[in-house]
Amino acid sequence: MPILQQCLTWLRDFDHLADSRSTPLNRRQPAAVFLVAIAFLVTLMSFSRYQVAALLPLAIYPALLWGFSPLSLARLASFLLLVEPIIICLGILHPWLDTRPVTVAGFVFAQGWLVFLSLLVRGTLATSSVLLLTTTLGLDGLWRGLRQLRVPAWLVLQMALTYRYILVLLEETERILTAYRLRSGRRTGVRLGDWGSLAGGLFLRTYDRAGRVHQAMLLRGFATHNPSPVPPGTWVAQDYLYVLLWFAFFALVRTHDLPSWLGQSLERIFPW
Amino acid sequence: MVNGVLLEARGVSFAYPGGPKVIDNLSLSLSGRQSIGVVGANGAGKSTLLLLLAGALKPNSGEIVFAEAGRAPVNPATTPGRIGLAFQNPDDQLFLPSVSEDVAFGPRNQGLAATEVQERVTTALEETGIGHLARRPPFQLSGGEKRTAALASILSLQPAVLLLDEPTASLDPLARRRAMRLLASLEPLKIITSHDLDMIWDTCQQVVVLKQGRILTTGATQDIFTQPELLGEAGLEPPLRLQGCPRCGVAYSPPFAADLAGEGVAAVSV
Repeated sequence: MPILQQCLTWLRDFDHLADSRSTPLNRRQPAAVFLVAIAFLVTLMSFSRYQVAALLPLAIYPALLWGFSPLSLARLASFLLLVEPIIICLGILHPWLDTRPVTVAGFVFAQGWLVFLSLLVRGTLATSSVLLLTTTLGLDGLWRGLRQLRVPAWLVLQMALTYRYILVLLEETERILTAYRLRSGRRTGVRLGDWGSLAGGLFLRTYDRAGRVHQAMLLRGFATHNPSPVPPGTWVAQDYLYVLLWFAFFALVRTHDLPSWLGQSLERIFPW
Repeated sequence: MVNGVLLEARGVSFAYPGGPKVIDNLSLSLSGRQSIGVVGANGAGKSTLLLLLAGALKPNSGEIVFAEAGRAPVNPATTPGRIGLAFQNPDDQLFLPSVSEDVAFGPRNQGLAATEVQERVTTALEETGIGHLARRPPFQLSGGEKRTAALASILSLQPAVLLLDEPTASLDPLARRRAMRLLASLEPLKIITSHDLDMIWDTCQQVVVLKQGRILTTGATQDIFTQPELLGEAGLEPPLRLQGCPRCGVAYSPPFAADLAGEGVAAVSV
């Protein structure tokens, strides 16, 4: 399957997977789920860049999210495989730039490897939790959550439109490239000289489409100064409990090195 | 503006920047209820006429006045949603993450209270029979579903005039039949553009024939569509059902929509 088509399928899947699901997580207020996700990301990023093992307990959060998500482990892994090369590119130079020796579990290696590993773990946890959250709540849930957290309506609308525009752009690109491919005979790929016209055509088509979407919005009374109400949502005890328990857990992980404490406890129990 | 006229175009001309005139000195009065068909060959100016009537485009000369705006020039900002336009491509219209959000978009912009917005959404979805799609992302729907969702997003505004650009284009026969039944059941005055003259025959009592941005003729659908020469002049052919069997030449004489439609027939005058 061409990569563009694959991207489109994945993006559509994001919403499709979340559609009409009813899990304990879907029944929580989107704002509560969102708050916890933000707290998770903040906690994750607040660790020192040399910490790796201390991050591991945080994997419980995406693991539990996965329990409620319709995303299969294989699909999650395939999403992550797309992102991992970027993370690796960002961190791979650290072992050569930070060569100070460090000893871990009796092995001596460059401190840069710790930074690289930490980056890899953090990137993986952050990406997987965002993906799982999106597939569990759906984009509709995410936008509602943002509005309930009093993020300005214009900003949420911009985000929704940007997402819509990405889809339009991908759809149009796919159509143009399919039409091109079908008339390319045996040649594969796009000739260098044709890229300019293809990109120009794509820009004009998407610009035109964006114009029509804007016209349709104006005809339905859209004006940037129109206040869009905050979606109704009453927090129940479970919502508060959900937020409090996760906040407590993140605080515990951040203030105590749980893996180290666990290791020491095991050493005391099994001294041999 | 004569009493009872809802929408009136007076000497309207329009050209896209750098292009030739798409609408040329067009005058038209629309009143009543039910449906008026606007037909013409490709490039006759049908879609542009709808955009002008909705206020999405401003005429280069002439004016379009709307009774509800105190006979002032039509402007979507002053009478939001009172003239609803369903675009030819529903993808141009649906942009929010779920069908219900999209249907609620217009009423929210009208400044209605949350409960009333919800009521409007429920009514529009029920009216169009797509309540089960409320939570679905619009861009995952089939062509027919998208078209219906786009229509629901207009109906939730409770428009006085409904402008429909090719409402049955690229629909399969069943979806087309369903769309036509739905259109026939809708209350407000409908202006429908289409190449599908059989559909226009079934749904519109009056018809406006456009040729190169000018009105070639207007009148009762039954009268216009039974004049092949006139239609030919506009680059059109009579509805298939009036063309008769290509082998035996026997023409089928279906009942005309207006005969079945009852009271409140739409009126158009030039």
